[in-house]
Formats: sequence, C-alpha cells, structure tokens
Amino acid sequence: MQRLQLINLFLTIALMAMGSVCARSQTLTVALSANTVNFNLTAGSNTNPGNNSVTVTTTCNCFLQTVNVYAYFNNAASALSQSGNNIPSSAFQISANSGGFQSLINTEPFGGVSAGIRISNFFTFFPGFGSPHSDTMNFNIDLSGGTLPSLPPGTYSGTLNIRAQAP
Amino acid sequence: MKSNFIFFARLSVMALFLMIAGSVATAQVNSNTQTVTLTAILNESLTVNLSGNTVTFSMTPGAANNAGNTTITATTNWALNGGRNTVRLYAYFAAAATALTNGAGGNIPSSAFKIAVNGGASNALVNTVAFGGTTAGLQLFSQAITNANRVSNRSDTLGFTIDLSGGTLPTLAPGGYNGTLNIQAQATP
Repeated sequence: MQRLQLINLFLTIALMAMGSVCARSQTLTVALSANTVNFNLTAGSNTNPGNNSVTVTTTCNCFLQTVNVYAYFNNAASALSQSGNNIPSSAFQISANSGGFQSLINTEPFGGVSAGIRISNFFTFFPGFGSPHSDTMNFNIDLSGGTLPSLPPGTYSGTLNIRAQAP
Repeated sequence: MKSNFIFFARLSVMALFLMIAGSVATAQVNSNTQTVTLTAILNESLTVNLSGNTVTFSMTPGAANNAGNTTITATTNWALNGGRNTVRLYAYFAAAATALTNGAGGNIPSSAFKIAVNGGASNALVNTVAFGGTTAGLQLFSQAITNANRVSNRSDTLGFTIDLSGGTLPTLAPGGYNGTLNIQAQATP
C-alpha cells in the first residue's frame, strides 16, 4: 500500500510538473502559404479578386486554449496607397474558408483602429488536438463605394498583417 | 484497496486541476506576425457609350437639311494617368467617298454628312482625324485634363444632318443608303 501511494505521489508530481512546464512554454505561431497577392482593378467595380488565396496555419503549443487569428492593416485610411491616393481597409475584403467577404473595419488587438478582422477562432485541447489549425483566405477589393469609383489609375501597394493571439 | 483508489483519484483530480490552472493562469500569448504584400493595379480607361445605335434619315433630293430622326448622346468616361492632358472625341467614317452607299454605285460622301454637337453648328466630316479614312472625320470635342478631372466623364448630344445640295448629290439616285458612323475617343499624350 505504501508503495502504491509513492507511485501515486510520483505520478501526481510528474503531472503537476508537466502542467507547469507546458504552461510556461506555450508558443503560438502563424505561417502563410504565400506572401504576395496581386489585384487587377477595374474602376468602380465591387469585384476585384486577388490572384491567389493564402492559407494561414496556426500552431499553438498549448493546453486548453482559445486562439484567435487576425488580419489587419496598420492604418484604416491607407490600407493600400499610391502617391497620396488611398484604398481604405473598409474596401479590402477577406473571405475566410469560403465564407462571405468581410471588410476589415473592426478594431482588433493588433493594428489600427477599425482596420482589422478576426479570421478564425478555435480551441486547442493540447498540441496535436485542435492545433495546428488552417484557414484559407480569399481577397477582394471593392471600389464601388464613396469616392473610390474616381480613384486615379496607378499601382497601389500595401501590407496585410496576420497574427494570432491566445487570450 | 478501495482507499488506495480514492487516494489516487483525489491526487489525479488535483493534478489535473493544477495543470489546467497553470495553463489558464498563463498570460496571453501573441504569435509572430506574418505579412502579405498587396499590389493592386488600376489601369487607365477610356470608354464611349452611345444612347442609341441607329439613326434614320428621310431625304429630299437636293435638300440641304435632311435631319436624322433622333439625336444620340455620347458619354465619354475616363480614368487617366498623370501626364495625360487632353481627351478628344471623334466621329468618322472608314472612307470619305462612301460614307453611305446604296450598294449599286450610288454614294453619299462624308462631306455631305454633318454633326451638330450639343445644339451647336453642324459640321461636315471632312477632316483627317486620329481614326478613320482620310478627310472622313470630325473632332466632336477636346477636353483639357488636369488632376482635378483625371477621373471624370462628360456627355455630348449629337444631331445629324445629310446635305444633298452640293456637287452631284442633287441627282442622287433614289433608294436606301446605309453607312456606319464610328465614335471613338483618344487621350494624349
């Protein structure tokens, strides 16, 4: 009986140590299948799709954690720009996992005010169960709203950021 | 034996609890940031749309003013790069001698075909313009372009007349005469 208790005690300590180690060594990473998306814009059109999709693979080396994945720009007014002319984040849309296109108009933990969107939300029980998690993003630029139909021709450039958080 | 099991169960539950608590109590974790470089190209555009594509004339032999049955509004839209300073709209036929023809050797030349822009004076298509045949065209407008109207549009109403009073046209053989008038814009330089 005493031997059994010792084994139990050892197992308990081992579990506690494992929990403690895991809690301290949580890592969260995102990786993208591509880092470039091009658009051929038509003035005034609401449908200007990106030339390729991008898959985000989120890996959380954690236990019992909710993970949020975000896409965002640093500034809502100038998501893409060219010589002082801008395409706002509200005109930039992402469809996550074939869902509807959503504009980047929310204030998220990262990026500018009203310049982001949550791509996905998932739960990780432990590494390998719930994570890695993949989300496929398709892109569109809507030039039909506001003054965008009169956007001057040119090459507009911008940087979309992808980042995850386990709150 | 039973007490051992209970003891083990208690310890296990406690361990699990501590493990979860340890995990949950951890501060939020942020991932690395990955970036996607976006490049969007908005090309120049210049388009012309017509309110109608057919004009019919009832002609009187030798008459100078055989008006078309309708006017046509030409709407020109443009989105131009910096450096462009002019948009011009032209009307033209492919050949000056045969603007309209009856298919049996009878022709109405472009010089007898006139267009009035926005109620202005009627002018014959006798100029060599950017498109069409030699001396078979007419400039309808020339619009200066600045940064203020680099993306813009305008509409112009075109009225049509055939003048059968000149040259041999008073003796033009009766019949149906058909032709195709082209409307096209150009931005320069």
